Amino acid sequence: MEPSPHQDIDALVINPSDNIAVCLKDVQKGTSLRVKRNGEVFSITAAENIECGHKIALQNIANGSPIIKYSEHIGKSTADIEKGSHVHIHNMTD
Amino acid sequence: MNTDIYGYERSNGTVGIRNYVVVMSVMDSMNPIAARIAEMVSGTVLITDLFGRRMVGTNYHTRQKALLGLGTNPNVAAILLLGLHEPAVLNLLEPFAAMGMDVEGIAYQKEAGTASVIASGVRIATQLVRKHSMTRPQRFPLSVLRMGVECGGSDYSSGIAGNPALGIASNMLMDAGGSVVLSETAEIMGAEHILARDATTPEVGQKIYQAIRDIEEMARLGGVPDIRKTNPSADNIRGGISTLAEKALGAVKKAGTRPLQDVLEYCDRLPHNASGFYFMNTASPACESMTGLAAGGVQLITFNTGLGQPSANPVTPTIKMSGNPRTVCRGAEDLDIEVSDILTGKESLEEAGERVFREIVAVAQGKLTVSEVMRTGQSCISVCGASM
Repeated sequence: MEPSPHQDIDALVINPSDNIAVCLKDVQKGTSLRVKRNGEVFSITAAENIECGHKIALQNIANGSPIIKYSEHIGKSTADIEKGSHVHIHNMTD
Repeated sequence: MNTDIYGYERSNGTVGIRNYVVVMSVMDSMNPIAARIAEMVSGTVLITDLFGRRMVGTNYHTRQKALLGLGTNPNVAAILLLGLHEPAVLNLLEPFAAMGMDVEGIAYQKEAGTASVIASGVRIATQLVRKHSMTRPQRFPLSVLRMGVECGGSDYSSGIAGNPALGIASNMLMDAGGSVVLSETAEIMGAEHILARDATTPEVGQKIYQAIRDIEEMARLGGVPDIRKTNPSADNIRGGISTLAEKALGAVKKAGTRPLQDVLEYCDRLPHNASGFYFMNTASPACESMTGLAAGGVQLITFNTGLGQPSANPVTPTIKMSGNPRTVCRGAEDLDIEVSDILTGKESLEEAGERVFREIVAVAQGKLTVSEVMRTGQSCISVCGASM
């Protein structure tokens, strides 16, 4: 059986000012995720299925707003993104 | 924690953390012979390259700078050169001697053949290793340490675990007065504004933008109208990377967050009084890039990998690390240190970064890396265009 190393947390916020977290495993719509930020763990519900390594919105992000990872702008949203949604090329751009 | 290191002071004032004898093939035809000599003589490291004949202009000068830089890396005590004929040997032997290096050379065409060159080479290399084995390392502050940072075989873990942990260690080294050198120009594209913004002067910031413009122009000449459109790759996008900036920000994390002091060209030597963060304009493949870093005088390289990558440099001990729990679970024979508990939540980024720093100090104090023990380092000098 493939080892399952991600036992304790499901997603990681890299910098406290980020508005997304990175999923550390494939997550299913509707499940409650344990998200680690700055040593603290909080919960967020996945609004859709999201793959390991992909981003999840930590808050509602209005169309045209910056997506922040590493405390830097990595791009901007191209649609209104709801908290818990998958953030990727379908709703953000350079 | 005692962060003093044990090193060998060289005549130019630099300090090595190893005391290697280099067996250097100065052209393609000598590579197999050089490899046999290095294999036979413990205490040597091998420098080869697949080119070296009929090189002109930029290629010739780059190659000369690279070989002279590798041979005078602070970790090198002595050099044995192997060339097809005497002029090729003298072309490097004379500048090495002028720089105060202990250097010997063998010209193939003055010997009976392969067996004779190997026999002479093994004899000379053995004498050089024995002669320099009596040099005792002295204690130096950590500020003499210059570290290259690399990543390869990258995946989702690289930008969020391994590279940020290495970045914390990089900051700790620079705060102690040491230097960190980042490279691979195409990989910083999308984060160049961060490096430029944090540069010590606007001129240094402009050098970063110029390096990027040069690579974009080179890509255009090669038939790629917009190299930025090639990144993130389909594979990166599948892995969850959405934009060029996101990819580059993950890569530059490994160099820490101190202001950029200067931008070096490929194989340029770091300044004598170097301290802090530097960038070297290199190609992206790890072997070419690490050859540039080693020629620039870094005494060690720390290399973060996601999925695993065996590359190492022969003259600079190369610390291999990973933050991917699956890579670590797989066995990871080539890893010197792992930081996968960042992603399981069992270790904080700060704690992991401090462990990486302690491993860097330990290697600078003499702890051997996996790639040194297995002798898997290799060199490769960038070329542009064909030989004549």
